[in-house]
Amino acid sequence: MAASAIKTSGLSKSFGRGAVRAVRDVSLEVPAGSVFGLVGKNGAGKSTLLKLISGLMRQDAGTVSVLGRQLRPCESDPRLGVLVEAPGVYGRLDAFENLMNRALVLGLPDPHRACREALAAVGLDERTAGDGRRRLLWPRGTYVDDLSSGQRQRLGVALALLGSPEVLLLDEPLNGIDPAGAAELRDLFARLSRERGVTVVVSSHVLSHLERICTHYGIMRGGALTRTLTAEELADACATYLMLRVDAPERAVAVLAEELPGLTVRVLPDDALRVSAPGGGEPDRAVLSQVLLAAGIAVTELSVSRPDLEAELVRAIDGAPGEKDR
Amino acid sequence: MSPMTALGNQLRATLYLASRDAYVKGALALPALMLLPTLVMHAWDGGRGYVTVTFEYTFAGLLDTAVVFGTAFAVSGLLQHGWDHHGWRASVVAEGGRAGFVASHVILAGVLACALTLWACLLGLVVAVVPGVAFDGTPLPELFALTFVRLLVGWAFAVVCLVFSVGGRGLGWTIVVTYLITRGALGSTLKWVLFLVTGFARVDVTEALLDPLMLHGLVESFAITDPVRFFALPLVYLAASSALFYLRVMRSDA
Repeated sequence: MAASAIKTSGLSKSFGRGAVRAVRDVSLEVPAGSVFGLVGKNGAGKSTLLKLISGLMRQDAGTVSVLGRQLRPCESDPRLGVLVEAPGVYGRLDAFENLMNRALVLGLPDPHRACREALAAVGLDERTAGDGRRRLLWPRGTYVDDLSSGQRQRLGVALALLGSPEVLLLDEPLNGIDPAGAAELRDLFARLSRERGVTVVVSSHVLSHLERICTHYGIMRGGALTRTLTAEELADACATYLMLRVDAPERAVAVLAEELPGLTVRVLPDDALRVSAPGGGEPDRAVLSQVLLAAGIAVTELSVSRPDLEAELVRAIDGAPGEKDR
Repeated sequence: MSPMTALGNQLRATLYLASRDAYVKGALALPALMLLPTLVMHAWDGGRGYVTVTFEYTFAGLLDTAVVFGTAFAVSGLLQHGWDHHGWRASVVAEGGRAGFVASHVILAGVLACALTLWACLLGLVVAVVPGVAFDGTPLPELFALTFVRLLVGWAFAVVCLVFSVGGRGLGWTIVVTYLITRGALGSTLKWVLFLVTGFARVDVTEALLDPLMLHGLVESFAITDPVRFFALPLVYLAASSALFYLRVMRSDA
């Protein structure tokens, strides 16, 4: 298997004769077997990026490689399972017929069985109803047009899973699905990655779901991929830290770097200092104060922050302009 | 997976979709619905001679409705259904992708043209056995030839309609586009435009140049005056419109 399941280089896409630059020069590598969370605000370019990778849309510039194979513009790789924006379905067919169509396109040896398994994987299989009889969660013959958005979304996931794809591209796959069902599907994605080595690229606004399954993150803003980080790096960023206000911030940074070299000190745009200790532990407040006082620096404010992953992701998505590492 | 296997898979899926599509069922129902009032009128007349049903005329009407209009209506409708909720993505994200999607739809148009021709022939047989139906005495080979020409024209028109149906704009669009194209409106418009343009130069190119190239002209008469043109022209249209359909699909977002 290739080291990178997906590799893009300089990928760009504009709409309205260049008026809207939906994706700007995105160079991305998604490690094989990872669960890659793509996060960003509405209009950040996540869906367009996934469409370009899956060949549903033609790029203006740049290249896409899937599992080591470079794709021509608008070409798709059959090893992909795709759910982007809304499930691609025939509205006047029922769920099983939609799956059968996809199974026939893929040339699956036992399409009926594959469709039943895909339905089962997303919780739409035969269930024992209240009256003790087994039946499909929705009856055969019900048009997809007449399904609820949650049921349709489950069908979209089932379509993406059909044929055991090696890479799953899922755009808001849990939209409209009830909490229990969303948790089941989320765990299914993680299991597919863990047990079968499937690479999962998932975009979602529900960050609490992402932080449970993602091994890597990509953050998009204004069509550009602004940052990629691993789950470990994100966890580090979520370590407990001290917020300090001192009368001489620049000198305080220099003093702390010399006296307490293990600490990481960052100056925030409002001149507050953010101090964190290695391993995510809380820095010793007493020692810190003593060192600064000994250097003649007055501490005017000191507080402890314990951010969660979600808050950190939101901060990364929002961008905190002007923030710089020291 | 070899390209032929991939195409076979795409074709199986397209046939599966067609077997369940309302537009295809509609295309099957249309010639029967067209025939019904003719037979009712014929029965009502009871041989009094007010209404004369001619086999050849009715059969040509059946072919025009079933094969020329019906094939285009069925495949355009199927394409439109695929576009509605991005159902065609199932074919795009697969071996063969868009090219397979295009090829399978062009082949499906041919398959449907054959199926609808057979259906029209069956209905034609019903007409032939109705007592009191008149026969002009057209020789059987000639009937076969005009049937085959209509099959080719139906197939070619269907692919022309596919070109205009990319993007999917609903039932109304499908009906209007199919009707106008299979009735030769596209060719007439082209003729008018050229007539106006060349009229200024006092040169009339429409008769000499364009009329022999009009596909609709092939189904306007019973007589096959120029066999090469009657059989080759639809194939030229088929090839050209298939290429255009491919280009449009390759440039469309799924």
